[in-house]
Amino acid sequence: MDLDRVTALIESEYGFFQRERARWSLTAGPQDMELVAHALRVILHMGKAEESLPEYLALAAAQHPDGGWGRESAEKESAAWVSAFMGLMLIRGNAVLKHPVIEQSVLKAVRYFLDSQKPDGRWKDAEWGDLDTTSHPVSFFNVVLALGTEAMKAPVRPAWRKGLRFILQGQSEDGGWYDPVFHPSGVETTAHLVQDAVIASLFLPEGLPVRPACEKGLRWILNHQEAEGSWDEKNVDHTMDCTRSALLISRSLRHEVLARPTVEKAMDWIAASKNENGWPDFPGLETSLERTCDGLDTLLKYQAWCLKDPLATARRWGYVTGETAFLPAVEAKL
Amino acid sequence: MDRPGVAKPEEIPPGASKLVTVDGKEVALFNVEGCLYALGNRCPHRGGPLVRGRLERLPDSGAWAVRCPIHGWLFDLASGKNATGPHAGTPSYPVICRDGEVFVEPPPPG
Repeated sequence: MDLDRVTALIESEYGFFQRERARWSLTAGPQDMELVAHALRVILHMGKAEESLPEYLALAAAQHPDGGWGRESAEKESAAWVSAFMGLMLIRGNAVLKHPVIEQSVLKAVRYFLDSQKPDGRWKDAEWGDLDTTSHPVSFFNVVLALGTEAMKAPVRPAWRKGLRFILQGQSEDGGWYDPVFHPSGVETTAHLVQDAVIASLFLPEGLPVRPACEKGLRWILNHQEAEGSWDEKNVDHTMDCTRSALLISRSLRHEVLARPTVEKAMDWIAASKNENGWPDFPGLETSLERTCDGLDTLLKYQAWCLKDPLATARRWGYVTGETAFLPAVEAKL
Repeated sequence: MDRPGVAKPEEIPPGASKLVTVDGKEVALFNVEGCLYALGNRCPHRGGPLVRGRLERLPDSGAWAVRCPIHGWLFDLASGKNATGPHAGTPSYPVICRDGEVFVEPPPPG
């Protein structure tokens, strides 16, 4: 996709995202925490963490005594899937902010996941399949191992290894991950697991041998794209998941040439499926703010994929230290 | 059912689905093997549009169900009950075909 077009889309959709702040900011009132997590990822990848400290402090203040978060900010019961997303956003934001309150909140989140892991390595969340749920704390722990302090890393290693093994054991012969209860088609589960949980091992000194699993996962994703560029029958959410996965895995394995036709077709489809403001769940439906955050995240990750530095893409996921620079054209406009 | 029809039967052939509005609420109509079902369109999980979901049989009862296209929650077409786990279901509405039109009856208020 033409990078000027990417820049223009980021600019317009980030403007819309900012205008909708009251719907995602914890500083504006009670919120749906999955949406808050999606919004914080946009803030992070837009390079706006430093000026958004109140958002991070509000997130730390909403943390439960057990170290987790609820699905809604007012909900008292912690849930694994959203708690891992929150822990991930806090540790990544604090790589920029370096705030002691946030660091303590990250440590509490680490403790929550160490306490709630099952003996076989999985984590459970009633609203999500076990593979998908487990991929989130593993993703959080990937980033703890990449960016955290030694005090954070030491207790995390064995739990992380068990969680990752649980996921690797769940991969099918054909390269996909299938969840018989929630996702028999395997599209969303495969896209989530390979990028959130598995690939990070390539960048971690203590990583497990995951290259064959990632190779198979990437081919599975590429082979499941539909002719017009989407995945799962024009499903915007799953198309963004698969596109981001293809970006990260192909760059990490240096399979950019193999993946480029798929990625470019997907990016064109994503751009074409946008509403005037934001993205819908399916083309033609009303805009979803969560999907809009996913759309911005996909554009920002595509932008990183276009940079010369092959590690820039992995940095967008927090698996490598440092910040991914904006393309000059994007930085100038923002 | 003395309210207006929401669709023509030929607009929903077997295997198809259609989004209609009943009393301002989105309702997903499904035709499975000639039987019509009507469910609240929005998944109670993250609001996914059930009208875009895949139809499949429940493993235990063999009854027909629709799977939310976003995160995979599964709903019994006849009752709207959540078959994925102990989660919220979606409203189910009586639906009939009469005089070349499809009618959906919303539940009584309260």
